Amino acid sequence: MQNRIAKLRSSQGLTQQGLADEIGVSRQTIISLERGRYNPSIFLAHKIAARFGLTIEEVFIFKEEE
Amino acid sequence: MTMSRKNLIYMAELLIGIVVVVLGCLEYVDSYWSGIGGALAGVAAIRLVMAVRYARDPAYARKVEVQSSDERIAFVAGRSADMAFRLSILGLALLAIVLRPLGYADVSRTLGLVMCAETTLYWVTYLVMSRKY
Repeated sequence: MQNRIAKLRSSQGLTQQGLADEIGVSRQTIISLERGRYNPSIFLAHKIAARFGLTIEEVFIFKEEE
Repeated sequence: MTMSRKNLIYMAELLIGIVVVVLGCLEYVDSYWSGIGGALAGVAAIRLVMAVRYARDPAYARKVEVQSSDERIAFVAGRSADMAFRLSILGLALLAIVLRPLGYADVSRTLGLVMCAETTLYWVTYLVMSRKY
């Protein structure tokens, strides 16, 4: 699943470690999320969206598989 | 200083392990039990060292706490266990098939039984999990 985490993080001048610390996950998790290698649970997705003051749909781009 | 309950357990494990190793050295128990005692003492010692480090280094403690609760790590661990199980079943099956014509019928049979037991355990676990979730 694609997402806008990297763009949102950069726009706020946040490092990967900084975002990881605020959300309570490891930096590697943030890296995997940004690369689209790992899809978060709804709890983590909500935490991330809440951190940026957005909805989950505004952070994570869900596309139906063709 | 107040000892946490976990630290008390680790110290007890360390003491038991050391006692068993000493008994092994004095030949009151055989090397099998002294080996287990050594392993118990070693693991307990490592846990105690880590407990001291947690207490003295809050940043390290926080890092370990995050790693232990990180959902991606839990996901990767679950997928790894799944893959290890599948590979072990495949490996057991191949070995059981290959060893029999080579004259190791007993070993082949044992491996086949272990494979059946693992598969049965998987299905029982699956049924339990299906009801739970």
